[in-house]
Amino acid sequence: MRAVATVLALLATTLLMGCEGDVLRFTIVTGGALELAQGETHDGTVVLLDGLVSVPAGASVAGPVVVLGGSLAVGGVIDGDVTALAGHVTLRGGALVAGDLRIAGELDRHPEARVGGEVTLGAAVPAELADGLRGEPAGWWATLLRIVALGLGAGLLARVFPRAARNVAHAAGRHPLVAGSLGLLSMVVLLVLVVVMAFTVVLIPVSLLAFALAAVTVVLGWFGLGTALGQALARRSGRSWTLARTATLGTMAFAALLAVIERIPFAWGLLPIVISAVGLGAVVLTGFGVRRFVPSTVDDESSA
Amino acid sequence: MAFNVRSAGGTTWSTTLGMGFFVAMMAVGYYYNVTFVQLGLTDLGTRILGLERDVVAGHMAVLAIVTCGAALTAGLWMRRDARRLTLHAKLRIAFVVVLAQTLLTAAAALVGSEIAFVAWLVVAGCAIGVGVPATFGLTVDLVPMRQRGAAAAAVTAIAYFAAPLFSGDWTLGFLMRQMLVVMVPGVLALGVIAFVPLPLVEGWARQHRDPAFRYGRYARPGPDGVVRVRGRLMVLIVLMFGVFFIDSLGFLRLVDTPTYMVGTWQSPEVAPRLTIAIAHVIAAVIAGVLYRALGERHLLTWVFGLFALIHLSYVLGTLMPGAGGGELLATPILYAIAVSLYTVVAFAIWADLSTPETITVNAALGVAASAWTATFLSTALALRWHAEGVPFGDHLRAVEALALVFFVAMLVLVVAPRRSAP
Repeated sequence: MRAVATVLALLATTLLMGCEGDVLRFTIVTGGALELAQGETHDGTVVLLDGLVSVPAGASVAGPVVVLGGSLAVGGVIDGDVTALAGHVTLRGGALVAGDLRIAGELDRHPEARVGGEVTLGAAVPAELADGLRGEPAGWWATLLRIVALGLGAGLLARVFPRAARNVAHAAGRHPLVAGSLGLLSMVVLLVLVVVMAFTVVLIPVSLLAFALAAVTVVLGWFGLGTALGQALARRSGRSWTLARTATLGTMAFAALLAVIERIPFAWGLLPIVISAVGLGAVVLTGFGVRRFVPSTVDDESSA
Repeated sequence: MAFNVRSAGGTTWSTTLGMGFFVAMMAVGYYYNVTFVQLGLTDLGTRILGLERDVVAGHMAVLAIVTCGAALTAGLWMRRDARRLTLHAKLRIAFVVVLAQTLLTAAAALVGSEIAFVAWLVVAGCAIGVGVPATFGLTVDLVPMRQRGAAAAAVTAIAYFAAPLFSGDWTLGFLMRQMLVVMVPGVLALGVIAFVPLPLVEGWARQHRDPAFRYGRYARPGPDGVVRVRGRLMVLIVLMFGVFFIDSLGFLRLVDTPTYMVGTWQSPEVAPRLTIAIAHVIAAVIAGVLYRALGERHLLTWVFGLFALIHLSYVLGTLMPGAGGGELLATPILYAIAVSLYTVVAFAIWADLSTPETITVNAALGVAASAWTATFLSTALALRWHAEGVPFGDHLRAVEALALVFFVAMLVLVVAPRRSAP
């Protein structure tokens, strides 16, 4: 699983770093050689799957380099991180890596080669990338902003699509075990799909779209969980709120709860994943809120 | 016809004990199959008898085909005499089978030649084959329909949690001693349950009359009182055959490749094996929950579709050595998830397609025609490819291609028109 997270982290890092304005700039080398000339500067991210990338003295890459196979030979400047999960990296005398150097593959480093950032070698690299994907908890102001934004988003959605909001909340609140199970399976499917598509290279944009769709689905799941929490709070307090208000207040409470859970050290980030899986599963079970989930019963089966 | 199972049984201590007994028996039996039969016998053939790995694989295929034949024969025989096949009769057959397997396990250390090895396999195949309809037949007596997913999940979780952790160094001696420690008291307990009149067992013997036990989830009587499952049964047999065939073909090559095994299933460290074991348990629990909650098509699509997708991802191992190799555990964890998911379905589905009268033959058909036949054919194919020198990458690509075909078949199943209810 960590490997999958690593690849996702690499993809995300690669593409985020490859952004320049609104344009994604990255070069993928799947074979053959990309040899820069002296004085040449290559803009954007370089992803090396196989073959050779050569950056001689006097040449530079203005962006990060990710190595998943093949050989990278640097005598010039890499103005970014160099991350190698596999393959061979050679840093000659006079080479400069301005960012971090993370090498899980083979490294041949000249004593005079310089690294501006941190150096991580061996098995610690995938772990570090996976940790990077999880990220540090946001600051309190950012958390507050997130709570408010999620609450308003849930309220808006409940106002526009009340039936869908009710259906997702019903699945998340009444059938959390089923929703969580399906959510975890959905996460596995997504991870496998994204990674498999990413390795076809051609389908990298599609895998990113899938990743984005999954992120949206997770947020919708949070809305569902928040609405379910809001309904429970309303019942407990004996109040009658509108659906939009229930969704807003419930989602804000849920987001605050999630922010607290994220800060619990022993949760290792697992609990938020499990909770998000419940929301994700609720969205999938209801077909994005289109239908109400009813567990399969004998009567259902007879009509199937 | 009024048909309400919600108010019926399933919560008494007697029923709970019956389910516990069933789960324990099936979990030990499955653990025996995935460790002693698959690993111990391979060690016996290759290391102790000094046979070529291909020769041993060929003999194991003989075991598969004998088991298949014995299961079908026993299942058909039990179906013909279904009225007299009470719980006590099934328990007594199971006792004889377990006793035979215990004696065979103890005698495995005495096997000193190839002929004796083949003879051992043939006798063991007959015993296991007879055991399939008898033990699966106990489902309709001991596990209420609504708990079959949970029971199957428990069987899968126990067997697959124990297998990576407690199968030791995969040698015959270790596995034989370990199994005998479990089987000797087990066969004594089974003997008591099968032959001594106990009120508890008498209560179990009446349970199959309760509609909560009697009718499988997909085997409910129509308006004319007749249970029709032939179409579903055939589709399930074909699907399970595909799953077992693809799985076996892929795993055979992984087992043959030390780099995949040393850091994972055979790792001297506990952590990787514990990780695989936990992945098995989580996936089994998920499958158990979804088995009960989802409709037939959704369930099969999720379980088998994910299985196909995971096998498709084998290509990662060749494209990205760091991820596909043993170090990062990605392949074995995904593999464990896929295997646990479909194993839960395989344990529960045959009973849910059956009544007490048809369970033995349906289980025999299902298990024999899918699992054992697929194992036999995939072993034969793997041997042929091995003899022809098919490289590792090509072998896995063939598995991928089959997985892709299977995935497409699942999509077709999803969009296929539904037959309207009678």
